[in-house]
Amino acid sequence: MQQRRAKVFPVFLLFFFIALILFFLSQKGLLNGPDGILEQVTIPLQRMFFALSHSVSATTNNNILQHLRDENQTLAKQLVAQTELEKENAALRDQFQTRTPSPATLIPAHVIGMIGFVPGVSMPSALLIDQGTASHLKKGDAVVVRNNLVGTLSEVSARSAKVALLTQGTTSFTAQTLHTSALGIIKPENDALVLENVVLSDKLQIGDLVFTKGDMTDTTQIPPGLVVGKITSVNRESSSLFQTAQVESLVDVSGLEMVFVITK
Amino acid sequence: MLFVLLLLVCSAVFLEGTVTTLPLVFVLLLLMTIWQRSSIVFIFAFFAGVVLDMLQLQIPGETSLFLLVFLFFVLLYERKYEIDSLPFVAIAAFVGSLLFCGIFGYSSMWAQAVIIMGLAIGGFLLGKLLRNQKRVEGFL
Repeated sequence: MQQRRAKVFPVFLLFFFIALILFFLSQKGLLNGPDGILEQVTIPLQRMFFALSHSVSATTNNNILQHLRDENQTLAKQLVAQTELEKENAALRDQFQTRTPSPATLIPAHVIGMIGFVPGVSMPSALLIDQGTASHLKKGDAVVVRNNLVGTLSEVSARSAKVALLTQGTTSFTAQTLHTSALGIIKPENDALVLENVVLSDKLQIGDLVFTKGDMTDTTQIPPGLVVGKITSVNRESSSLFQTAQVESLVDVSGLEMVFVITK
Repeated sequence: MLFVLLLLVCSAVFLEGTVTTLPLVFVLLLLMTIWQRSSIVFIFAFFAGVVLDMLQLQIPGETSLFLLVFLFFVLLYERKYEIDSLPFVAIAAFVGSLLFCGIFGYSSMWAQAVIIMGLAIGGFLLGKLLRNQKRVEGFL
């Protein structure tokens, strides 16, 4: 026992210090080069795992497809590949038919991971996509699906990026309602979106759509005219200076396979 | 055996990095520590942690540090407690995943900790069953 412990301790110390050095070097940004090289290997694998998991969940929801797969595995493999291509094509067609944001400023990206996602338990807090600084993406860029705002880039590496969803993190921006033109600030609160700082003289309606007003700062690049969501409830108290509203996004983030990043 | 463990850890790393953020690598390494009780788990913990950080765009090394320290504590207490027991596995998995989710800022940490505890208990019982079967076959 004592002998084994004597063997275990030096190995622990060795790897502990290597990890510590790695951590500090990464924090200083000295490992960006090797990171990028390793990403070239890991991203295709990550994408394959993600696509596989999505195709598995899609087949469990479809008995006919399941039956076909059981009958002929080779055919099923082709079917999955074709379905993915069709989905990708449909997403691209949809996105490029949308006038705002301009297609020229969009970078298509595949979702390769969902952070904080436990099916049936919790929704994702962030998405991982397979595009990075190599595609001229930068921190703060807006991420959309059609003209729905999904989030902003919070971390960008050479070939991947992390999308902080609107309901998480600290991103806040100005927004306006569609019918009543009430102005306010969208902020995340308890995994939901809240439209705050709306003056009492403005009218808020349940079901009204909320659009971005446009926030182009150093840290966030959110263009105007993107759909944030629709109002599900209004909190108005005459004693308060402002009224607030709960806003629900129109996008089911857990089902996303492709998103688009708006670049300048 | 080592190849199977490597395959399991690799699968867990990619599952955790893409499909779900349940700390699957943590629970697998915990079970490995309890069964193997050797320094090889530190090597697995280090590399799995680094790859996991890169997949999730975290600072490389932070997951490795957590895994290394936690597994070291498990091995440190092997003389004081019977670590190859169901209560220890359940408590270590629950507390460890709670700490893991808390430190790395995951949502629904209580729910994740309960799920991980269930997975650890299931894995532990399955491992015990397989080991008993092997022992019986060896005896026959």
